[in-house]
Amino acid sequence: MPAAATAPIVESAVARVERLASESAVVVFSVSSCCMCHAVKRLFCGMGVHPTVHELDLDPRGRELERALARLLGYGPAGAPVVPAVVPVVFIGGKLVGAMDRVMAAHINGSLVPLLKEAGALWL
Amino acid sequence: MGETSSSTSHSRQQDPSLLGYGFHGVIATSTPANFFDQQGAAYFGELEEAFMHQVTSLRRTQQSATISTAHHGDTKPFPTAATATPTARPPPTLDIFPAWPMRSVHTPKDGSNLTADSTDDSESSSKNNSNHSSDQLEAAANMAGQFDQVSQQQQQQILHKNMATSSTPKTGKTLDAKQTIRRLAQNREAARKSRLRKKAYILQLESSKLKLAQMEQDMQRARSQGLFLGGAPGANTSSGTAMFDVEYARWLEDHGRRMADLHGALHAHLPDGDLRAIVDDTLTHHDELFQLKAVAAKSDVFHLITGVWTTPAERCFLWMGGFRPSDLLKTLLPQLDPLTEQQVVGICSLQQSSQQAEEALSQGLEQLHHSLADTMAGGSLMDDADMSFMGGQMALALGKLANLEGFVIQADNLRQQTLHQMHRILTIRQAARCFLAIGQYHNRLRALSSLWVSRPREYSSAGTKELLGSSQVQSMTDGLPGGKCFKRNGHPPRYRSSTILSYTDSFLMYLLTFAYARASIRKGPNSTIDQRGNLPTEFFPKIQGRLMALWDAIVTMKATIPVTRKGSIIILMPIRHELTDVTRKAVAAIPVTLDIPIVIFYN
Repeated sequence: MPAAATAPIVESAVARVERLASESAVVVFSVSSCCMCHAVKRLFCGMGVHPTVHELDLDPRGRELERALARLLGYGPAGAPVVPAVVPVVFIGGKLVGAMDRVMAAHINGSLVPLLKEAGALWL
Repeated sequence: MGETSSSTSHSRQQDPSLLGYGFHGVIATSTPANFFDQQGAAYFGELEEAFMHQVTSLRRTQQSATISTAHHGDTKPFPTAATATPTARPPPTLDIFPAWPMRSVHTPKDGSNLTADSTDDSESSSKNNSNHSSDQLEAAANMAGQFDQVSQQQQQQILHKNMATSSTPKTGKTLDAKQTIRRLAQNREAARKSRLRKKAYILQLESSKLKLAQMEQDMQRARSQGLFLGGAPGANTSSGTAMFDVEYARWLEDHGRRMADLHGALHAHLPDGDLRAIVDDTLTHHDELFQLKAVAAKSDVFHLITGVWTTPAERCFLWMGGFRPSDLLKTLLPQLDPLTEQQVVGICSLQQSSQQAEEALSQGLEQLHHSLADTMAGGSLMDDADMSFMGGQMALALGKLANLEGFVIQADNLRQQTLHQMHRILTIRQAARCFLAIGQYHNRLRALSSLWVSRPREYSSAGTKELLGSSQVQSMTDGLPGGKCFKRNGHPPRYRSSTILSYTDSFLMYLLTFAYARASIRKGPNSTIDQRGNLPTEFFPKIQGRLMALWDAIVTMKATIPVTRKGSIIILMPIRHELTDVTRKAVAAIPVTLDIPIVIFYN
């Protein structure tokens, strides 16, 4: 690997995911055509939160990011069977919340709103 | 004459089918095991005689001692000696046909234990046959085979030895012996075959009976849920959906039982620890249903989404393959009084968040609809370019359709989380009441559906003679289930028992309200009773109106209810546990309020 000072160091997908996740209070990795991602976005908008959305299908390195997300979510390595739709994946305050089911569970048991407030995404 | 008796006995033996019939007749009437008990000592006595006779007759026919010992050994494979008295289980020697060894001694011995009657003879022979057959049934099949083998050997030996011994004084007897041995063997074979056939037939009958009972049960369950039979979409999906339907029916039964347990536990004022266990159990049971639905969603999501597995009334409220959590919370909140301030806040925020989640999922689903519609219309609908559409676009559409599964699963997840959160917010007793309320609500919806399905459809437009005269009462019945169907022409409608029952339930509930209201108002210190001693006016007409309407409905249903000689109405009611107290008090209240004799039976 060239140790050039000017060229950007090629970061691993996981590192990139983590970097993107910590850039905003609420980060959603989605696919533009996915309806469940649309649902998650509507959920946050309904609560008055404006998440940062990264559309993986519009990203040149989207595939890698998707695989990294799958690994973060705990789906096994390449040996595992075909992973169902990984997206949407939600990070709040740089920490992984999870896929849609985790987000909904968090919202229902009342832990989502405090999390959002803590991250500074909600002020009420 | 000995010969005649022998011939008759022979003829009996020569006809194996007749013998077989004798078998069947014997077996059909009483189990073989009973035979021993019934016949008892007399039987054994006869058997012992037969033994002795056989032994002596055998000794007569075979001259060599070796043959006889071998013979004895062969004929008595079960460990009893030839001279031993029969034990509780007399050896099933095939050769104890009293007709054979006793034919020479039978007729002369008129005064012996064994009667000379041919009927008795046949009876004892058939008894022995049945004994032999019963033992055959008890023993393994290979025993029978062994037996036959053994007896075959024995026969061969006898024949062999008989042929070897050319002693003339016994030739007549040996020839007879040969013949009878052969005939006996044939009889045995025929009897064995018929027994095996009969066994197979019985097994077949039993299995088909079981299958029929199972099918009837399944059909009844399906019918009671108002499902459409025979609407299976396709070969690969129908098995998954059929299995889900069966499992769901089982879950419903289980659920009913648990609700009854919960109700009993609640009213028995059990300590909180026990109640907690039952409530947790109920929650787990609900989780099981969500599991079932998840599996079914993978097999056929449309089955869940279109709500074929629910009853019509439930289907009307269906949201993404199940109940809408915020609706349920809205219904439950007033039922759960008293609640602490904190609990109220908790439930309200739960309601709000579930509403937001539902909104989000609904919008996601709408997005899916739009996307799918675009795909299906994709390109041009005008061209005859179906082939190109079939190729790429269809695959795309299929992919989009697969997302439905995710939505149903998320909706179920939402329902599950809502129930768990409710469980967390409420105290144990409140949670118990909450689950009971949910169960009761859905029960009522299901009852409504069955009423709807069974409502009489005899409408005649011209000249409808309305059974309920006043329009005022009619308007009051409009709120009742099936209220509008009171407008009928002359002949009485045929109601199903479920209709009658649910009407009587409502009737009794209202009756109780009425009676209690009167009683409490009379007793209460702050009674708002007016001069005439009646209920407050705004309270009274509504309840009385409904009572009258319900009573009229029951009266018009009289045609389908049996009426006793005294002219009272008998209403059969299953035990509705939540109405036990109600009905008891209502029964006491009825003659006072309405002056009509009603007899109510509990199942």
